[in-house]
Amino acid sequence: MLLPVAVQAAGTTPVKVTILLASNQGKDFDMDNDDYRDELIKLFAYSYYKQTNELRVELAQGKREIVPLGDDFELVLSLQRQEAERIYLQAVIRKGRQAHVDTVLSILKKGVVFVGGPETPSGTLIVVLETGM
Amino acid sequence: MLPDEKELVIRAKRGDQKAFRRLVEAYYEMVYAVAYGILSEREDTKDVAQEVFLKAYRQLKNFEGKSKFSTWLYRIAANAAIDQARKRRPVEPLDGVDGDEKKLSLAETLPDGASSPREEASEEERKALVKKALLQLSPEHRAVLVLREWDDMSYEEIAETLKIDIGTVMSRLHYARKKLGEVLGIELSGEDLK
Amino acid sequence: MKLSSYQAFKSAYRDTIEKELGDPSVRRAKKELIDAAFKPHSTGPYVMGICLVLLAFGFAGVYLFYPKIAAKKNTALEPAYEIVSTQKDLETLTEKITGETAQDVIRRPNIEVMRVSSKTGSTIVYQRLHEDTPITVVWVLTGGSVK
Repeated sequence: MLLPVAVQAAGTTPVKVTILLASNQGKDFDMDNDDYRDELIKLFAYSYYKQTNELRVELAQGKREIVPLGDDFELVLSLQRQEAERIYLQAVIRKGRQAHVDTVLSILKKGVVFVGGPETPSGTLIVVLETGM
Repeated sequence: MLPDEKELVIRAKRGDQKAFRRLVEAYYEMVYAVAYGILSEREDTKDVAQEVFLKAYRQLKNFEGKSKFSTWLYRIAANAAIDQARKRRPVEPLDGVDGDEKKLSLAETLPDGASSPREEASEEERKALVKKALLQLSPEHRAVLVLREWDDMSYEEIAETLKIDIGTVMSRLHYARKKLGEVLGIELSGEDLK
Repeated sequence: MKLSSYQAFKSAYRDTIEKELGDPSVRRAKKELIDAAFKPHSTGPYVMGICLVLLAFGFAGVYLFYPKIAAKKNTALEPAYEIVSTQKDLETLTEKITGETAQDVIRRPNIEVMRVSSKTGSTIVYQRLHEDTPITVVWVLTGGSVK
């Protein structure tokens, strides 16, 4: 689907970041939108999902972007490099010095990646990264 | 029609995006349904729905309010969907090119797993059958069909929406139903052809 | 399989459209259109006024507290993970796509997980196709639950 071209800083790659907390307390999709509803049902065994934030990050090559995730967790995104339509993206969910998840992804055009698993008092952290919007 | 539709349209014409946003929220499904009734393809329909509202926003200054806003929007939607359908490769009719061949109906050509020939199809099968049957019609015929069978519009309303004569509406509808009857192997009653 | 009458066709036709309208992807498309194309303008003299006030406070804050912030930054935590920047580090973990996605991958998959690690638990990677979009899950097992 073509979307109107949004103003975007030159040389940056946009990544949509949606932050969710999942748990088995309750039965609801408490999200601002219905994005990923189907996927969440198919992929995960939780009964309750709450969206805590959704934002768009513009990644420039070699520059790190830090997104607070709540409960002292942070998401660190960095664009390693780009080759034609494929991007190499590093995503780290960390708390202090500890990297709970550290992954490098190679994504061609449009893709959705669910990165998560760290436990917080409010639920299990799931970060949805979407590229190629 | 929205209770404050006239006010929203006036505000939107002045560039109030919030007002137009409300119109989109109210009419998106209506536009989508018309486009889908003509195209039967989700991705094409989404593209057309987007195109319709962007076009409507750009051309709102030309909307004089002589017809209802919904009628105007329906027209843009039907025309956009018809244009999109025309861009696609034409569907080969199932009854073949050679006029001497026995003309098979869609019901006879599709594999029949049912034990009884009169057994109703499962949901997915029905959906596939509907889609295949619709694609035997031209986009223009599908347009009158969706406005009549989905939106329950009168002949006059369809004529106004598509900017065609009532006579053309009636003949296109008659042809569309008859053709569907043939391809689906259905015997139409007089009531069906009204 | 047959539709027994024109009324049955009409009913099936209406059902088809009804169900299509109920699909989550249609709601998503609607929202995307509204959010992307028709976002309400947010400027106005009142908002501008608030921005100027906040800016003034910001400057005041920097002027008053900058020396303390600068001192704290020097002891900021170094990342506990390495930044991958060389080709040899990029070993592909997801060369084999299983199940329903396998037959759809002709060359390289859309998403490859080149590397995954964790200091807090075991990690798993899972991929599948959802409505023609590849979905990938990178998960650390500290008590989370993936189907």
